[in-house]
Amino acid sequence: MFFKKKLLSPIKDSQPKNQDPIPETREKMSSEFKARLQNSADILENEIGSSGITIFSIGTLIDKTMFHQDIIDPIKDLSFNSIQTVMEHLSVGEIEKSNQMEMVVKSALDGNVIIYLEGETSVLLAKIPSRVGRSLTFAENESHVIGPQIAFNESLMTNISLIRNYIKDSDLCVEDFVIGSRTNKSGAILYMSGIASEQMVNTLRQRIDEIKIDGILDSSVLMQLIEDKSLSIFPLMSLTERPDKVCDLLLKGKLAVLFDGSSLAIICPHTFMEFFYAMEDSNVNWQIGTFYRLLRLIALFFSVFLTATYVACITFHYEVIPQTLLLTLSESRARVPFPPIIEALLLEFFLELLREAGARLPTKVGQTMGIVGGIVIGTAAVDAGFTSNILIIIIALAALGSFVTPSYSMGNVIRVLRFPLIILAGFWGLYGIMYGFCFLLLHLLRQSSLGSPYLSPFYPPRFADWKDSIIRLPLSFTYKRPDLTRTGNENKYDPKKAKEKNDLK
Amino acid sequence: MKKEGWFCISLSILLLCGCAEPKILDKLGLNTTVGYDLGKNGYILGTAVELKIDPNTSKDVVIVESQSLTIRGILTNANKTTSRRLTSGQLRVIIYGEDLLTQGKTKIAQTLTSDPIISDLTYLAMTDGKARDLLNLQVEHIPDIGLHIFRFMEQNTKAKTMPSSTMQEVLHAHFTVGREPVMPIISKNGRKGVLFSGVAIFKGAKLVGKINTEQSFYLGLINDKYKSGSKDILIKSDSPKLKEGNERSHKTVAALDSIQSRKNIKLINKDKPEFNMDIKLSARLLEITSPIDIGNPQNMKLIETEIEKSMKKNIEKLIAYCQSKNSDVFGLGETYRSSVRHSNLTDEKWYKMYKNAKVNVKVDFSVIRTGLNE
Amino acid sequence: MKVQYQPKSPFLLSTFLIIFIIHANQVGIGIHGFQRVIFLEAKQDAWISVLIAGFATHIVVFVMIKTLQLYGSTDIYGIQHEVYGKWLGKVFSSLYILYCLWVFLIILKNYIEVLQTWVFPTVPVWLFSFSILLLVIYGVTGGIRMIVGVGFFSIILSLWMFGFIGYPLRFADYDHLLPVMESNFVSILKGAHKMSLTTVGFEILYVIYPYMEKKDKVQKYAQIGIAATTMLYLILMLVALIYFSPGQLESTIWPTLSLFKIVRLPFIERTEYVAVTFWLLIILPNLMLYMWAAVRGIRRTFGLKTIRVLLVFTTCIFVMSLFINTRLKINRFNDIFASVAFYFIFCYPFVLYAFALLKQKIKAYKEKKK
Repeated sequence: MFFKKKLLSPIKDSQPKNQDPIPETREKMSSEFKARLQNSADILENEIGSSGITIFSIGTLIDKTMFHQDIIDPIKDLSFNSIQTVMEHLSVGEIEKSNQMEMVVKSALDGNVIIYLEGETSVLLAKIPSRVGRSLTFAENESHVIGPQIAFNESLMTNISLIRNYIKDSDLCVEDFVIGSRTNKSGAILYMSGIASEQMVNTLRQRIDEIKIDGILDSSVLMQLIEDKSLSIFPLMSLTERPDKVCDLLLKGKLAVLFDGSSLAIICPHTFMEFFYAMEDSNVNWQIGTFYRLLRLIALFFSVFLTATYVACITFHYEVIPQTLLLTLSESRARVPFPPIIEALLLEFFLELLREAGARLPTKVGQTMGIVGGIVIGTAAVDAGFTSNILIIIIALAALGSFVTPSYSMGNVIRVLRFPLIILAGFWGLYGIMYGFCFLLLHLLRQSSLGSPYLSPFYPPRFADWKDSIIRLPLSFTYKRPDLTRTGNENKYDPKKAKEKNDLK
Repeated sequence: MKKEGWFCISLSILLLCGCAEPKILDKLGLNTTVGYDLGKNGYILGTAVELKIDPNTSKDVVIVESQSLTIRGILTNANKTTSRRLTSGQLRVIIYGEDLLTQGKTKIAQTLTSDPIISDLTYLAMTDGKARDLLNLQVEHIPDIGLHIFRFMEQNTKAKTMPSSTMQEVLHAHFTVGREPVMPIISKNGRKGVLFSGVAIFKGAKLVGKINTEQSFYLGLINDKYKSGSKDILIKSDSPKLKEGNERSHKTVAALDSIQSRKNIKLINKDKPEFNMDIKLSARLLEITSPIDIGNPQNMKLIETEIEKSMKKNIEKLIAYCQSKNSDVFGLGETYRSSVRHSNLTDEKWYKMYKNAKVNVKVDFSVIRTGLNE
Repeated sequence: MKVQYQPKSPFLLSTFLIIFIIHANQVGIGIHGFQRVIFLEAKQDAWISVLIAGFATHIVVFVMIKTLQLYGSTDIYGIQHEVYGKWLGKVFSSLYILYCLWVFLIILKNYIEVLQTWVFPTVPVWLFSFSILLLVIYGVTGGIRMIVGVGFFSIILSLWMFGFIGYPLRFADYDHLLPVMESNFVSILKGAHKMSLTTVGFEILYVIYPYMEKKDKVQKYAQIGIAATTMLYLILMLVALIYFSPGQLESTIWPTLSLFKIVRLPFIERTEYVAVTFWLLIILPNLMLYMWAAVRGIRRTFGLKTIRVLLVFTTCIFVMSLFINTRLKINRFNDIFASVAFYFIFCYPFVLYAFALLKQKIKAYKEKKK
């Protein structure tokens, strides 16, 4: 706990500076403005002809075209005696008036230009931020075959507009917040009012408000700060880059947090099982969707327990090996010089190295890595009697199993979990595996996501929600919103009306 | 939150302190088959087929021998001669030499069950002669005699040619009042391999008799339920249609296949034990050596009754043989116990009655189809 | 100390979970070997003994819940305080706490014995007991909701074992069951009496009752839970009777586990190894519920801090577990426990109910007089 407190304690003195008025002369204003921004090289100061107007701005933050077209052009040939008249000539959408220096500097950092008329006590702030960023692209990290292909990008406004385009409802609430005493980044909490639970919204709002930190650069960091418990290895909230997924979950009564500068949305509350759902499950037939989900669940078990079981059986319980496998297993083991636990750990480590190297290298080189690792080293290791070839199959299967998990963060957890389990299996055999399993079960039961149980809908048992958990029943069965979100509005739609089909006869 | 930390720290300390004793597969010598013979001075001579995978040698199997007064002692003594620790966790077949079983009074199988490492599905078998000789059989096409015997027994048990004699079944019969165990006899087939040569009949743990493989089929009919299986039945008939046989041989033999059977044994007289034994079976008739028209329903009837007769005779012979050896392998005593209230049956009581027990055998056979031709 | 105890609403449990709580707490270590113990008394009619014991359990549970309902929302500690007064109440509550710890030790010891016999003959006791106690501490500090969750999962996740029941049935000899009612009634009753070590577990109701959401439905669901357990025991008893011959059953210490020896799967040769280790998940809720009940009792009667009491208790159990180290000692320990448990679990609830009724009558009478 001490760690979090220290991290969150205010670093910068946040007391408001004395309420400075706007200086009266242009020179004073200029030096004051520059002084406050540490005489940065990108400060612009434009005197507009004879109109007596000076425009201050940070050149790197404003849109140059707009600056010339919408601000300088309309006023360059005129002369003014009051700031109010200047306002009338400008064709910029967002214009504010201010008479405080503090506010002026802040808005300059937000992409405003400051229009200053000598002698006036207030200035105009016109917002013309430059749009730095990339355009919308495919969802590459969570790609689906069936379903929308678009992903969030780093701009908060774009992201919100994407969601607004999916859910055209007046009940969609967007609450904004600013975080970071130095980065001053803005973000937004999104939820459907009337569907999402009030209490959860309050909890989330409070958790975000309580964060005192100098800077957050990505929503993944924000997520770590608002999670229920920060020491668990499991992700207690979910990150996604898919706007359709966010909308789907919003409609189920969950909350989403978008953060400026991050292309990932945080979704909460989120259960353990939901990490194994993909949007595609609901886009395909229910039978196929169920198959996918079962497949992923089996893959999860394989991935976590298979290598450990191999180690346990070879080290302690040779009795459980079937007669048909016995010869193959002992033949492949016969040349290996290490005990099974070392053998397994080595190979797992090797596989993790390959994965990490593939992820860090540029895509083209990464592919070569896979070939080098998989074929060359793999075959060589077996030929040299370094590992047994059955273990290679098992580890490859386990690795595949961890990659089918739709959530990247959960996939990471699954991969890491293997190591303690292998060690337990290597020391205590099947008892060790069972011990690890019991600990994981206890641990998962203790977790909560935004106050709701992590293992829902299995425990506490909410049998109605089982229809859309390991299996996915047809849409006509799953008309209710999950209990998990403690929603105020239970039914997604009227089940009876949804079943009716008034075909033309 | 702190709890996880404490938990992990304690667990790692625990792991550092204590580790179970490893039994790594490739460091062990796995006994797949063992044979027990009677040695000198009451010693038991053990022969074990050890599976030993070594990449440097071409042979995977080593035969280990040792002797001791106890069964467990054999393994301990055998360890003195091997480079890998011998274990019985993968034991599949146990073969007893005939001399050990004729002596009786061995508690070999019971001793084995109290060791959790030995599976209840281990096959037990007897060999006429020495188990040691059987396991030392060197045949080119059998690289691993242990595995060969296991596969051989598994195949034959599944096909119901051989009575199933897993440890559980043998002990089950052994511990039931009024039922005795049987074991298949496996013998050397010259220098060619192994052969199922008969069934050993016990009383308690003592070998009292043997029946041949022909009769073993009828034993199966009484004790078991056939769901599939095949059998050649010799028909000795007075009917002219079936008398001939063919040019090759003058015996009439019917080949049956897909045999399905059900039995029902009922006690009808308490005081002088008398049982009704109804055996119903149906089969596919694939071949008959007589030139008889099997498309004719009357002929079919004839064949059926003749087969019934032949079977009945064989079954009666088998029962008479077992009665003469005073061994109740059919579980008649168990039937007696379960149908007579407060009988307090013990083996002693039962064997006084068993010798004179009367069994009325009735066989009901029907041909269900005759393959593709009629 | 207050007699009434009403937990806050987030800690309440759905009432139907009592099925899982009772079932999970009953099924534990006794199930490994009860067939033999009862068979020794009642022979092939042992299954009747199981039915009788099950029936008796239904009645006892009925009385237990009646007692609890007299007070609205309270546990045994509150009732004893109310019925026996301040000091005597404390004595009785301490006895109950001791009982819980005793059951805990019995379960732990027996499971370690099974592990050592079947899988790890050379691993020392302290390693097992230390590691299991560590899990228990971690679990109990998570609170009652989580403990019940473990019970729930332990039942759901061990359902696969039921699928194996077909394997022993292939070797079944139904004649073993005949003739029915061969043993006399006294030995059947004696057999039922021997079931007490196996059926204990439902007494957790006494402690968990206040945590149930709808108190009026507890009776129904508790009875369902008991019925489920009785069914399970009955099935296992019958399977053991027809699978083993009488002589075998008399000498098999853990018939239920031995039943697994016949199961051979294409990928697992010996299922009993998996079953024995999997049993950890089945006894875990037992251990945690009893430990929780004991700790809860200390908190209710003496008002001490939970964590410290928990650590003291587990240390005591750990030390105790080292001293009971041979099969003979464990057997003696089990036998003493079985006889005590019979009186404590099957007879005491009636006494408590009578006293509680009496006390209420007196109270009502006094109030009337006033």
